Amino acid sequence: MTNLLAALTTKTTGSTLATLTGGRIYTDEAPAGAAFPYVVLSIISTVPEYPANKTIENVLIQFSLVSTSPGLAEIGALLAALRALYDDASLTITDSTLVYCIRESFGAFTMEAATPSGTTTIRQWTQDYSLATVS
Amino acid sequence: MAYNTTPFHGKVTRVEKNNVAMDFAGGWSLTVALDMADISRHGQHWKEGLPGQAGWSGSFTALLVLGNTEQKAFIDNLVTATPGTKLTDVKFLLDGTTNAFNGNLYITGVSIGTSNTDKVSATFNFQGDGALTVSDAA
Repeated sequence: MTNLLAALTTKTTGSTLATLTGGRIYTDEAPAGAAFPYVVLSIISTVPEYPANKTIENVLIQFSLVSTSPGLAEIGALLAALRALYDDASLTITDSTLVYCIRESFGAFTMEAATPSGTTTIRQWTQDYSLATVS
Repeated sequence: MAYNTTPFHGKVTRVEKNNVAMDFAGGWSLTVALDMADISRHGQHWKEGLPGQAGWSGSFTALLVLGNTEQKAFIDNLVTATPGTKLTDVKFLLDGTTNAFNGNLYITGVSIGTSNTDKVSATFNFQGDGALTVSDAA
């Protein structure tokens, strides 16, 4: 699974998503006090499948896009960049081969939170992807 | 060799062609049936039967990978100008190595299933030709 995470992270190198976030693309959780905007990549679940002589991992991953910018322009641009990067993407994964990377459900919510600069509105959009790898 | 003394797990079963396990196989089913003629007569409380001929048939599934030699061979057996060639080199292994069912068969159907959200699958149907045997030394 670490190889898949590495491949997903490597995919962002030099991308618009990396530019828009200043490279703040994290795995599992953002560090305390991280500047906005940023992206967090998490594995939601993985279900193995065992066709003869092979192992297929059916993986559901979630990208959380987090922004404090008023309006939808910044977070909308992040979402567009994310989808451009991962919709039906190809990935080079050590020890396995990607079968597909398909966009799944999307969610959005906002919350009030304490930040180093005071209480602010944090907008968080989540985009799930379904992937399958074979090894 | 010996027959198993604990249950098999389905994930270790295999379909072999020419002694090579087909990659990406998802599972197989095999049914053996004996024809029975009803010879019940008036005045009886219980039915009686007369055994006829036995036969066997079944199916196996796979994630479709045409680059796999064995899958392609099964497809080509039916999707050809002259379908109906008997296969004499297919085995249905229960433990991946020894315990197996063997017999000659015909591929009688191939179904390919696709969807926008999952892997492409294939189901192969077969009809046994002649006796089916079970062996602990496949």
